[in-house]
Amino acid sequence: MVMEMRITLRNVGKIDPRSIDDYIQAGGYKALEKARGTDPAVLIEEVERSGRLRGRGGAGFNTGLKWRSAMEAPAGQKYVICNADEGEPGTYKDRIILENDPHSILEGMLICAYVVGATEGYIYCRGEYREANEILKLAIKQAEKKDLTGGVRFHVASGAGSYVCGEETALIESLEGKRGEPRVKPPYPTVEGFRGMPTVVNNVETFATIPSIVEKGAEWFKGIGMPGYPGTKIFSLSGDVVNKTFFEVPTDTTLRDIVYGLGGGIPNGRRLKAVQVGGSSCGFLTSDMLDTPIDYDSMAQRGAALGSGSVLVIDDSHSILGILLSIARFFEHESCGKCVPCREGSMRMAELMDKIAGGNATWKDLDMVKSLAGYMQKSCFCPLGQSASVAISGAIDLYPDDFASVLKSEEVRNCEACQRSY
Amino acid sequence: MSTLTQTIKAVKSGDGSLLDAMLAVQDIDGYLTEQALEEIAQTYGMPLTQLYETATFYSMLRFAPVGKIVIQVCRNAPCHVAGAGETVAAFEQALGIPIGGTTKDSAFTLEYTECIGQCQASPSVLVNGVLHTGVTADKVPALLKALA
Amino acid sequence: MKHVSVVINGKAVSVPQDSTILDAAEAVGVRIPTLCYLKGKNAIANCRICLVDVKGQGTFQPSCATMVCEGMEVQTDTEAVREARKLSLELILSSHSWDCHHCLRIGNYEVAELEKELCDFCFFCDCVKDGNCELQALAEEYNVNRLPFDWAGDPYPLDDSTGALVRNPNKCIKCRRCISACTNEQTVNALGLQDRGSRLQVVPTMGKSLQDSPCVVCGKCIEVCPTGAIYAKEQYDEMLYDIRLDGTKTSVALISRALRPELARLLGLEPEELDYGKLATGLHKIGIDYVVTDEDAAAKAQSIAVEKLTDALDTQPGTLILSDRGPVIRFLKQEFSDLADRLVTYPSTEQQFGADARGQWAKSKGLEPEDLYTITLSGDCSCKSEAMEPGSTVNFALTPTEVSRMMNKTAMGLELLPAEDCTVLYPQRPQVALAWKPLFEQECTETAEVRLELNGKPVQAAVAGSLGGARKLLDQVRANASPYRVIRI
Repeated sequence: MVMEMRITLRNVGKIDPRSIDDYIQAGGYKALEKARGTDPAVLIEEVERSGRLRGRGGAGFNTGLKWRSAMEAPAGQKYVICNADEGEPGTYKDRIILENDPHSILEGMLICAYVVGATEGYIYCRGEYREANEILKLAIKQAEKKDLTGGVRFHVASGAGSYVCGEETALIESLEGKRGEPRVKPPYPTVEGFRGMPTVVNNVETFATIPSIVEKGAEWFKGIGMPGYPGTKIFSLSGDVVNKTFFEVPTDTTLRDIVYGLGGGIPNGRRLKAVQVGGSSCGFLTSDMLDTPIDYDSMAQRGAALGSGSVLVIDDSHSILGILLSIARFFEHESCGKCVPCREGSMRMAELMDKIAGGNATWKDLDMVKSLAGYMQKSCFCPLGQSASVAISGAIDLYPDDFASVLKSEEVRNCEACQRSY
Repeated sequence: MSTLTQTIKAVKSGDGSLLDAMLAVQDIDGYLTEQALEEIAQTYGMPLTQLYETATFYSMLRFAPVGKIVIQVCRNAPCHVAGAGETVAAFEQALGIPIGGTTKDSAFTLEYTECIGQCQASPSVLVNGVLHTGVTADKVPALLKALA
Repeated sequence: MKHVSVVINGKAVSVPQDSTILDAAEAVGVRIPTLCYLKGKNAIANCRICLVDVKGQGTFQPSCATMVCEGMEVQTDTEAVREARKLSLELILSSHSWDCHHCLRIGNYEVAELEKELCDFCFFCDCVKDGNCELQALAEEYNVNRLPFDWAGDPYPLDDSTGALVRNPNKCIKCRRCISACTNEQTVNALGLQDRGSRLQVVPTMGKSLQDSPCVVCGKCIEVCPTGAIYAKEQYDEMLYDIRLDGTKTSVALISRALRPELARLLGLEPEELDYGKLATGLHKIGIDYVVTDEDAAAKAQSIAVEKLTDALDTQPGTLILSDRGPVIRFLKQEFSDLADRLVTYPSTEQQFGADARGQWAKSKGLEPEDLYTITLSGDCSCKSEAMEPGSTVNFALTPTEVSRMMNKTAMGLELLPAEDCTVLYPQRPQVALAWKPLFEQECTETAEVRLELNGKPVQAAVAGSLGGARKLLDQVRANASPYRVIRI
């Protein structure tokens, strides 16, 4: 019987998020104290050894390596930035942490600041999360009042409606008061980031997990879940599932356990058509793929992705086409517009999906979708464009009947056009 | 000092970011006027062209007046699966405007929004920024009635 | 500088560590196509035409913005890369107005069938950049015959509010070169972006017309635009019509030295191969009565400048600002109005020519000033803008692009023409004191210092070649920290 394991979410629902005393009483800021009494070099080894805590935002990059790169960069001013621009459709796990345990994020950021030598911390929180923005500001004031910030100056900066600002270099651009357009990498932010200085950008969930690792040690963390991606992961469920809520589980939990175990399965006696893990930028999984452990590498091996850990359950009452149209329109709207393949490609993809979902497309149009998808995956400037068409190209292979039921041949379509013009 | 100047100064002295300033100023008139943009540009020390470039990038920032009540329906995959399409149709019918439009009396504006992170309660709708959850098509009449 | 070894298309080369893949390819003679790239000015990897395949990378990399590293292996022309480039071009062209290659778009021809000679005669392609367009050249290179998508949305209106400088947003490929030139080089900040994604546009400030923006009509954006999205208004049709309409009128044209580099390039010649004598013959043949070169008018204008400067140097302390360029004067009014009393203006060569052609020259030929058309063939659109101002002594100012298109449309082939002597504007060429010459002859891209010796005394001067350079020098003046007595912009 699958059970939750609340490490990152240890305080959620148990403390008043607006009370720092609650957080401290629950054991909060002990890890920070311990960290400050430890040599940064030793601490960073702990984070690295924790089986490599891998970023929980979606990219899964080794956190210890990231911190080490910033630590070793020679510079006067360094920055720590928390990426709270949660925008991947289906994802709300960061909001849960922000609204219910803001101090866990601050503590994680302070530990990071201590390790890398940063004296300024920014939390870039999406503008739509009004409550989170306000709770964070309060938490910072409280921590400052209790003299816990140790000389690190915190700022909360609001986003203003842009999914691409979840990409770390686009986030930095936005924080610098510019358009949220991604930068060429390398140089990486840990070397040349915010205002050109060494910067660590980590996700909310990543920072919120740090205090536990520092407190309980790497060995403990490494022993949980899958070796290549240890610890726990928070999943946010949505769609046609009984328990539309969030769960934190060890990383060797299977998708089946999440959907049917904790999720309670599919309501109304319907059957599973697809599960989309990781949001609109990831592909679909069918029932036969549900026994995959949800860790980053196992998913990748199956040609799927863990991503942000959102789990959208889709039952067989839906045609995949409407969902794909919704995805295509999302990326068209969120494209930053810098590069040709994304700016023009996302527009044409939405146009084509509209035609297909509306029953006005031919097989030639489908061929174009496939070409466009392959092209965007190889040619776009940043991960937004590169992954915009992944769900669509995957669905063409998985649900050929959904497409076949609406596509026409050129001749039939031309015939209909003629008839309409009479 | 005008409300505009006061607002900008308050954000800047509180070490607020450019976006914070623009969001705060937008609350004054419901959208960013040319005068507002000029003053923000001057206060933050950048050419107006650059500020305009930045401002128009973000979907939460507006440059034209909207209805008194702005209804935003999320259209992304999780809300779509929960029936957001029907919710939109219900609003369109009840308000007599297509999505993206404003009623003649400027009472309502109906728009799409992208994912607002409330997928546990889809279909999700924002009414002047306030969240309404589980707004399936059948719940639309009651929602509108409560706004009257 | 440390060197690294990389392999480009199987060829090994050692390049400095800070090279891009594009630089490295150039070093081994491999050409990678580019579109938005402008060396040193615009390397933002947004057109994706310069994409290459780097071993070990899952996505294609932009060679203009990717640094090399030890052992990097690059393939620049694989089939997959070429397909990606072609699709990029097809996508760009699907959002681009059809002012060229109609025959391809409507399905009558393929690129492989196009014949240059026939193209020259066909006037269906009437874009101002036809034959000189980087997008068109790439489309031909990659055989973009049919476009897979239709034009989406409504066409944007043209912006010809400034008169001389015209914007056609329907041809903009959002390469951002113009923004870079206007913002970084010229520091005018008249052009910027609006919105994002598929709604992205390049617009003047606040999305208004150019006339309502800080635009000073310097024409730098025209110089860098790879397509016909920004161009100088064409007037040669109007000019040819006017000069021939009334047989009682006399036309005089000035060929300025500023015309040479760009016109030579457009004609496919080295600058020194362009014979102004032959050009004069050609101009006569299409109806222009007299042709002069600019030495006389330039010298006259400069001597007026020297006179005014000498006066000012005697009466005004501090830094004096000297210019004959319209955009500069507009720029000063907009950005440095507090320094207005330091400005010494003198007529441009073109306006001086116009004044003297109508004045003493017309008299010497027994012609009335109102019976004259004055035309100048010069370097850029600032002359055109000047000519369009009320009170201008010049009727038409043509840019090098216009001159080359006019030559094309009138079948004026210089290689077939004999050279003729040009008319002389003055009986005696005015002299500019040698001591002043360095000030007028110094060329530079940003700023340069000039040491003058006037009446035995050294005078520190500076020259600015761009408005950005001008801003730097003028900021110094404003801060009372300028070491220069004269600044020429």
